[in-house]
Order: sequence, then structure tokens, then C-alpha cells
Amino acid sequence: MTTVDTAVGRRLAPLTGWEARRLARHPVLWPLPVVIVVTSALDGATGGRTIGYWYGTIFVAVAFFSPMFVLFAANLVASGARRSRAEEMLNVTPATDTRRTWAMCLGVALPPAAVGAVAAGAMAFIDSVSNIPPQDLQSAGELAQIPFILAGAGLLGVLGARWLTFAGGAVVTFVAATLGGVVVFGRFHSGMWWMWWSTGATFEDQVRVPGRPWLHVGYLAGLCVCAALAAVYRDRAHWPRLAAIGAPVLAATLVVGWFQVP
Amino acid sequence: MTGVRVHGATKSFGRTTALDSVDFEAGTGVTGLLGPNGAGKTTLLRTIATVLAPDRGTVTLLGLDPSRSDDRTRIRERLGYLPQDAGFHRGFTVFEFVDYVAILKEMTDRRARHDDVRRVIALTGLEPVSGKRIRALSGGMRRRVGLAQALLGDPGLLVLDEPTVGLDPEQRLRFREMISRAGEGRTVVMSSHQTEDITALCTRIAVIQQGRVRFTGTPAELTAQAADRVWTDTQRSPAALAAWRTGDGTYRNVGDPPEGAELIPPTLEDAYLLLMGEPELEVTHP
Repeated sequence: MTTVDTAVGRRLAPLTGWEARRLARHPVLWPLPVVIVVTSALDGATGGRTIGYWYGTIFVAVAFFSPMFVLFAANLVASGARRSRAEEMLNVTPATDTRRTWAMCLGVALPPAAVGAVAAGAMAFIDSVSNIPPQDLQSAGELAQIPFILAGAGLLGVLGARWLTFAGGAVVTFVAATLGGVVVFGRFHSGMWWMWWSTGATFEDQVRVPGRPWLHVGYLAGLCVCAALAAVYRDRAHWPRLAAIGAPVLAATLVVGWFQVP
Repeated sequence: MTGVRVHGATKSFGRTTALDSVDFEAGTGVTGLLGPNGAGKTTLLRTIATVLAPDRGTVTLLGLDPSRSDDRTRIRERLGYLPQDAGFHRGFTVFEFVDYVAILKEMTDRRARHDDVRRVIALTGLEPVSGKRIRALSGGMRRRVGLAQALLGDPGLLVLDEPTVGLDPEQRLRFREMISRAGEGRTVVMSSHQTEDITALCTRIAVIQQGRVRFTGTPAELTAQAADRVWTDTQRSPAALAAWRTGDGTYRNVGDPPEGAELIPPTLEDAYLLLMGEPELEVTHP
């Protein structure tokens, strides 16, 4: 059993690395630093560059702007073979579609998650060396959500590429996810649409909604697994497996999702 | 061992029958598929490349059954495939794309993989453009990239769908060289519209028309079908199935010659034209 697992891992690792490289250098990500710099500069010009400003800038960069760009880049990476008509050539390799999609999921989820973890670490460090105003402060549970937000964006991109195989599938995925977030958040909270991923609503003058951040981490992790499973087991032949594995994961995710709201 | 054995393969797409009870075999060396557009060549090649499964009939590749999942994976470990309309990730360089396919072919050792990537790049004459993005290459160069990825891992079975299409004469000659080298010690199945390529490269050929195999044998055997059926004349002969004016001003006629006609040695193309013009004829040379 160990031998098989090691062999699969050995085969998956280089492919995962390749997909990660493809994501990292995708042109869709190029404007991201510009957007972050411009928006944070505008923000700094009005509010001053306090320690809270840097704290908030990191948060907005990794939890707001980056997921959008990662979603689109991941979608284009995942749909690249189809769009460039390379699929037939690649499909007859020994790497099965399932394995390739697992590699794709890992490749577009792990690097953004790592970036998110570093950003969360930086925010925790800033908090430890200064006094962030309580209304701006993210709890440990909220910081722990950041890697899953970014990983989820990548996985959502792959999911969209696998299921919505028409041009503009990424846009539909983004709009659907945002609207879904609006509905879910509006149903339970103040309706601040952009915070759809978070329990801790701390935007400007809005009332803070405490929620249960650590359960929200579990909820986000569950969504990530659901997205990966739905992407990997996309083909009809795999639907029984998708139902068998995905249904319990989805049920657990929804339970955690229900209990995370205040 | 016969590399490819197809028996009674039938494949339909809706109401269109692309393959109709096809029997086909290919052993070591280059086997060519000839036929008009829509004859079923690509469908047969896609079946041999494990892209498609036949609706009926059996396929054995490298002694394995591609309808079984485990066998299919083992076949794919030893398969090189160049599709007719091969596309490439636009942003990849030549080296990166071939390396990417090498990873998909599960060459896990990085150094060995890169050595093999460099080998096939050298083999296909792509060394000068190895670091160039594929989108910046000409059509002929892209075909070479397709061939390079197909040659990765020294495959036992190479399936090439019209590898010389769109190439200029010099590139075609280079491709012939590469394919004939590739055919040494392995099974190569290629399709082409170019009878010159088939004549130059193939040890055996199959002619397909309307999903049926009309001829199997050697190029010489097909050419022999046209013996005494090609003649020259000062004008187009009404008895000819096909006739065209040649460079010296005479007409080359293919068909049933009139008495006293000036017969000339046939070519593979003449025989192919005759075969296409006689739908009842089916010839199999073991």
C-alpha cells in the first residue's frame, strides 16, 4: 500500500509543480500588483499610512483582490489544453484525467494558500509588535481563513473550467460565486456582499458580526475539498464516486457552515 | 509481435459510419494509411491511439487490450501520438511543452526526463528554437514539436496523423528522414494524402475509402495493380479514369488503355487513383 501511495505521489509531484508554475506566471496575475499598489496608495492618501493601514492593506490584497485574480488565472490554466486544442495529444498519456486534475487542483490551490499563510503570518506579526485598533483586528481564526480563501479561489477556477466548458465560463463562475455569497451573507448578516467568505464582518462603519471563525475555517476547508472532488470526478463515469465521497463531505461542510454563523 | 491488430472495427458518429468492419494490422516499420478526406483514416488512427473505442470489433495494441483500463495505461506508456490538428499551450516554450508532456508520460526522474527532452528536441532539429515560445514558431516547426513529444520515451508504437501536412518540400524531406529513423525497431502508423511520402517511407500500406479497407499490402503491390493501365498520349483519352497534361506536353492517362497505347510504368499515385475509381475492388496481400 505504501509503495503505491509513494508512486502516485512521485508521479503527482512534478505535475503539480508544473501547474503551479503555470498559474504563477499566468498573465492574468500580472495586473494584480498594480491594482494593489494603486488602491492602497489611494487609501493611504486619504487615511494616512499608519500601522493599521499596512495591516489592512495586506488583508485586502490577499483576501479581496487576489482571490478574484487567482480564480480567473486558475480557470484559464485549467482550460488551457481545451482552448489550445492540445487535449487530444495530452489525453493519450499514461497520466489519467483524474490524476491530471488532482495535480491541477493542488497546483492552483497550494501556492496561493502558501501566499495566504505568509500574509496571515505577517498580519499576526504586525499585531504582535503594535496595537491594531480592535475594530480592524483579525482574530487568529479569521487569519487562518485567508489561506483557504485563496486556495478556494483557485479550486473554484478549476471547477468552473471543468464544468462550464464554454467561453466565459470563468465569468459565470465568478458571478455565481459572488451572488451566492451575497445571498448567503444577506440571509444571515448585514448584506455586505464583499465579505461573503468571512464571518467577521469588519468593513468600515458596519457592525461587527462575530460568528465562529474556527468553524468558518472548517467550512472553507470543506468547500475547498468539495470543489476539488467535483472537478476531479467531473466525468459521468466518476459520478458514483463523486456522490459516494462528495456527499458526506458536502453534508459535513454544510453542518459546519450552519454552526459557524452566530 | 504485431504492434497493431484491428479486427472488425466499426465506429459510427450519429448516422455516419466512419469505420465499417475494418481489419488492419501493422508490425515493425512504417505502415501508411491512404485515402480521400472523410475516408476514416483519422478515426482509425484515433482508435489505434486509444482516443476512441470502436463500437464493435477488437483492437490489440502492443499485445494489450485498450478496452481494459490497466492495459490502456500500459499502452499509453509506450505510445507516441501526433494528432492531425495538434494544438499547443501558447505560452510554453518548445522545451517546456515537451517537458510537460514528458511529465504526463510519467518520467519522474528530472535529470533523465530532461535528457530525453533534449534528445527528442535534437532528433527533430528543434535545438535552435528550444527556448522560443511555440506561438512564435512556423507551422512546420510546430509539427516538429508535435513529433518531438510523440518520440518521448522511445515509444514502441508511434501514431502520426498526416505528419507532413502543411510542410514545405524541404521540411517534408526532413520529416521523412525523422519518421524513417523512428520506424527502425518500432511500429509506426501514419496517414498521408501524399503518395510520395507513402512510397518513400512505408513498408506496408492500407487504402481506406468510406470506412472500409480497400487494399492492404506493400507499396509495390499496390503499384503493380496499375501495371499496363497507364499510358501517354498527345491528348486526354476518353477511356481514362484520370488524365493530366505533364510538363513535356503529353497526357498521362490512367484507366483502361486503348489498343496500341504507349504504356509507361505506373506509380503508386496511378494505382491509388485506379483503386478509388473502382469501388467494387478490394485487395488484401498478407
